[in-house]
Amino acid sequence: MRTKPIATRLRTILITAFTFATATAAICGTRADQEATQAHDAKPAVVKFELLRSLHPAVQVKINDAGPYRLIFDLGSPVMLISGRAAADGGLITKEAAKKPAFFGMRGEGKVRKLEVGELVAENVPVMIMDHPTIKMISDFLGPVDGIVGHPFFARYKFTIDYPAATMTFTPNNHDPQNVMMLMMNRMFISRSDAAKRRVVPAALWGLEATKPDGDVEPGVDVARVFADGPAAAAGLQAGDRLLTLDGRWTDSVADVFDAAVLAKPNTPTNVSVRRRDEIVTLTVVPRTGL
Amino acid sequence: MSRPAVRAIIPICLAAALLSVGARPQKPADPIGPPQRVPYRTSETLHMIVRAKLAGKGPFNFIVDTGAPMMFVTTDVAKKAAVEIDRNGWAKFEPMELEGGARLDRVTARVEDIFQIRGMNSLDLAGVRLDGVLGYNVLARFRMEFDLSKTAMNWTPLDFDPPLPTMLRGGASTPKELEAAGGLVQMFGAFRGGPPPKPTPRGFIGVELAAAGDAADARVEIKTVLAESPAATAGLRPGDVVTKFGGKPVATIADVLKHAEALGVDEAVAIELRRGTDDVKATIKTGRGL
Repeated sequence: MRTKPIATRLRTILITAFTFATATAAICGTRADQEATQAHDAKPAVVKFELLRSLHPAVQVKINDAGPYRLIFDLGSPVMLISGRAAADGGLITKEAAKKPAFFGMRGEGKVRKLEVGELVAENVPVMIMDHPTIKMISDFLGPVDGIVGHPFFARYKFTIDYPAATMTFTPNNHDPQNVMMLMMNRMFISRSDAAKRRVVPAALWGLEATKPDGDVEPGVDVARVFADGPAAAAGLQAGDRLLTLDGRWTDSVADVFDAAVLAKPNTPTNVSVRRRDEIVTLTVVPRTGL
Repeated sequence: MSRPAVRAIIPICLAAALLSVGARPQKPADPIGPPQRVPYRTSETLHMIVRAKLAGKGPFNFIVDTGAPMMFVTTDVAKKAAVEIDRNGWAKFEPMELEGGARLDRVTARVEDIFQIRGMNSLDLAGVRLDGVLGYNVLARFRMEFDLSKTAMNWTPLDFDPPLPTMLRGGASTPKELEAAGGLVQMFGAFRGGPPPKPTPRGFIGVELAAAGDAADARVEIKTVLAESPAATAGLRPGDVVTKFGGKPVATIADVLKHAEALGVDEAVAIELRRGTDDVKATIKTGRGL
């Protein structure tokens, strides 16, 4: 095998290892309707799925008009994977290229011009072309599976999953999916000194300080200070309150408070719950633009 | 159960499965409660992470994963929650509380340090410590609504009790090469001297900012200075226009936030202001808070 740059190898290893957050194929005697796919004109688009005996939901997918192929719908996968066979049929690679042995089955990357899931059509979806070992294992026992529907597809929709009804629904949400490989490589190769400068940046100004003494393992953190004229003060927060949640998120550590504040947008009413004396009080803070 | 043993049973497990097909027709299940808001965050690996407390311990971080046939927790979680692990590697947690309010009286999870989690944690790839994954036996109890442009999901509890996978001969199975891939990532992690340091809170200043002027003449105005905040100590006043922050010219709020991004706690930062017709320089010493 030709020597490839270490970064390329690492990419492949990462994809192989982490596509399925859990590749484990547990075996179960359960199975949903074999009938896969078919949607109605209704909005949102309805996609029937098949629950494989491995308990993975599978949908029928067309790749540049080729197929349909059966793909596992995997919320744990940051990437889309399609098999070499499906990629060749869809014109992404040649038939010869689809058969050559490859490091972890990785055959490159591409973009599917037209990816159809039931009646949904997604355009220009980035895919990894890969004969993933786990997919192969599942295919060997449960019949052909040609890949994984992952983040680059489902991030484009508001969608629902209902297992007992074996149904998903999709409505476009105009969200632009990020590229996971770039994120991962940045993380893997970040220098320690650069990493040390990374901050957790609240999205807005709250005007409070939270503390938690060492050894305090009770839920919540202490509100140590509430700055006059600030949003927290305006909402009625008081020093001495025990802050339990911020925007529905547990604040069991000071780090939790910051993590929750990263996602709480300025000028948006946000619920916080505090324990004050022996009462739980819910207050609405409108954090402001600032720092 | 030891890893080699798990590997050894792979063929048995899967082959036996082919004999154990029991097509079980499913029918839609009714909701048994109102939709629950489930806040989540997207990890650096683009996984949806929800937090849960198990048996009152935690919170623990879980990947929402339809690629997992069941819930997995690490051995560390089992230890913290002080649960008993049965001889097949399963443990029951009573209750499971999801962040945001959803709750299950009891969940069964497989206790195993799966290689994906080990690998990701060794490099802190996800940006959060991962404690397991929520798979079919938890997810199928809800009609789940997702929208990655939002910060919370909605999960409606259903009148449905998903069967646990029949783990024939007690084993999970993973292709060997994947275990190897996980190992390689861990090795890479060790070679790098472990995960990089965790991000720390940005320093606190205590000003509310407002945009002023039009596109051609955009400027940033200080709208409020919080009493006794670092900004107040540094002498900043409402109405001041920020011209430079950290030595860099600024015209928009985004500029200020960007130049402040790497600011830690107890750090000094230079700020230049226009106050009326005066140019004012000040140094802010950041504090703790948000």
